[in-house]
Amino acid sequence: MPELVKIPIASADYLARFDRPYIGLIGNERVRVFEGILAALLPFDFKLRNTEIVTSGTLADHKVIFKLPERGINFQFGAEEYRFGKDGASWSTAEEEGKVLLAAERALLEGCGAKVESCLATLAMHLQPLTKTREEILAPFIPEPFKPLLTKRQARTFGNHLTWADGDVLLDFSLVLANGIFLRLSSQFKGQQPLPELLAKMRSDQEMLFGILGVEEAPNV
Amino acid sequence: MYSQLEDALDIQTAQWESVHNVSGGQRYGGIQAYSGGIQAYFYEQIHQGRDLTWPSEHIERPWLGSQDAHGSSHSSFQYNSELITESLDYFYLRQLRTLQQYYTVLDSDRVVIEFLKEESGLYTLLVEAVRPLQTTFGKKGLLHVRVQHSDDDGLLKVVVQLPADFGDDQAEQALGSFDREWWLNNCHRSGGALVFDYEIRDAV
Repeated sequence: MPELVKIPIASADYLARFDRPYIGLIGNERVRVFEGILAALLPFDFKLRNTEIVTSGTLADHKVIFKLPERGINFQFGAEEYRFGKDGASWSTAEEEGKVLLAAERALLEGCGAKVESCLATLAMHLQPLTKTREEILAPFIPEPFKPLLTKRQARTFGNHLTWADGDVLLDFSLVLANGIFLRLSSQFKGQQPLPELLAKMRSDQEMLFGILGVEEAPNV
Repeated sequence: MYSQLEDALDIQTAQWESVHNVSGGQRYGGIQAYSGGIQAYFYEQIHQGRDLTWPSEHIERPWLGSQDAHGSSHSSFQYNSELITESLDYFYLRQLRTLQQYYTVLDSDRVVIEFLKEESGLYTLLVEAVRPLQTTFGKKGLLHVRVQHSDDDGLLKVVVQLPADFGDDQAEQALGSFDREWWLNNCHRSGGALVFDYEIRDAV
């Protein structure tokens, strides 16, 4: 039977990279794009005070940030990429929050001619097992050659980091939660991915990893 | 009390670093440039008896992810009711996140935050209880926290989940020792809203 875990902290991040820098987005087109995104976010109770324009550093650092603090959402764009972040991520609200991304994304790309070359979706979460210790859950992930060493020297933390051609998974002790496990998984896609397919892929990846870990999310009381 | 809070801040700093590093940052490489500054800031605030507020909207806040997830308006020069409510929620959320560094909180964030608001003395007591609990029960025990409601009011129950090889007698002795060494001297601060108990894992 899977170990029940709480997920007190989780975040989702979506990063889309353009095929080349579009200087207009941080230059003479910025105001038009800003107004477009602002209008697109108004139905989500967006407030002007929750914007920030970063013009320090190199041109690659210049960006415009829009925040919806009540939802833990931010959307930002620069010349090379745009990014959507969500704190307190949960599958139960993913589709609803996705509407914010779609609205902002549409307003950004409309008329600017920018082409998305690739995108990267990342889920990060801190799991807190309810009965087992994290050492018990992560024990199977200790590589065999190291296991004899552990009988002689006590491990303080251990985990795994596996990188694929199109993503990665990181397992570690959480530094944030008592007895917590940190899990981060990411997937890279070519071009722009329709949101439902992207969400389905990430959810299926998470379920697969939960299965490997032998855990299941406990219902939120 | 300061040493307990300083312990908490050490962890908050580690937590802040962990958000930047995503976890185990020293091993995976990350940005730690602000950590000393943030910690020093909090120490100064505590030692001068000030409320803890996040120093700047431009410095990312720990436990909320890589961006300022609670808005940009926490400046002390911008008081209005909405911002104060937001700051209060943030204050209690931060208390909860600190508690989760020591305890497995079984209820939802909302339930626990409401309880911490009602029983404002419990947070400090729970942070202070960690060391005596670990001294008497050892560090292998998981500390579970749950809000229990009766008809009239509620209480917070801390249950030390002990490994199966922890005998009943040993557990009873540990609880007795915890009571004598710490709890009896501090229980008057709980307003009757906090209890400690233990459970032995796999015990049927």
